[in-house]
Amino acid sequence: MLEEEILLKDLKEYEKNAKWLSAKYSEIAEKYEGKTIAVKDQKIVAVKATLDETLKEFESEKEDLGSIYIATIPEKVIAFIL
Amino acid sequence: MKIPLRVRKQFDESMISATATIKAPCIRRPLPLEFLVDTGSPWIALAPRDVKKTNIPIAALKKPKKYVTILFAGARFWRYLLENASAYLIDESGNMVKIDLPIVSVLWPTKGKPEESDAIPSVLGCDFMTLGGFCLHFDPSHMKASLEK
Repeated sequence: MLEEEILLKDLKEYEKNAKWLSAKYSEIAEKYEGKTIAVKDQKIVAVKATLDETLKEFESEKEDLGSIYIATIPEKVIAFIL
Repeated sequence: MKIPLRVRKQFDESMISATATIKAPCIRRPLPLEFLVDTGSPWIALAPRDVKKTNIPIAALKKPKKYVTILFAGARFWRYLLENASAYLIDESGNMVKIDLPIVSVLWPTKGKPEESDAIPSVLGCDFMTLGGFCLHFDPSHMKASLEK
C-alpha cells in the first residue's frame, strides 16, 4: 500500500475510535480514572496503569499503532487549564 | 473546505479536538494523534505522550534560540523544534488534507517523571490556523466545531 493510502486509512480508523470514546467519555472516565486505555475497532483492548506500559505491551506484541486510539484518563481531582 | 472537529464534554465543559498525523523526517512511523484545538497557544505543540507514541528522538532535535522553556498546563517544559513537518487531516468528504509546517514544537518536561504529563494533550495552536488559512467555527451549545477555509 502506498504511504498516503496508509496515512488515510489510519486517520479514518483512528477517528472512528476517537469518536467512539468521545461519545462515551463520561462513563469511561468514571470507570478508568487515572489509567491509560487503548481503543481499537471501537472496543477497549487494553487498560494499563501508565502509557509506557501500554506502549511496551503493543511493542512486544508487534501491534501496529496506526489505528489505535490511546488515552490517559486524568484523575477526577485534576482539570487541565492550558 | 471543512474539517470536522470533535467536541467532547470534559471537566463539565465542551473541548474541541482534532485528529492529525504529523509526518517529519525523524518520525519513522507517522501515527494519527489527538490534538486539543487551543487558540490560546501560539504554536502547534506535541506533548510528551505523543513524543513517546511516535518515538521522536528528542536528543536529535534542535533547541530554539527563543522560548527555550515554556509553561503549559501548570508544568514547565523544554521546547524542541521538529523541522520540515507536515500535518495530515481528513476533510468532511473523507479526503486527506496536507498542511506544511516549517516547525512543530516538541515538549519534554524539565523535571519530574515524563509519565506525570501523560494526560496532557498536544495542541493545535495559532500558527497551524495561520499556515492552513483556517477559520475556527465553534458552537459549544450545539457541540459542533470545524476548521474552514
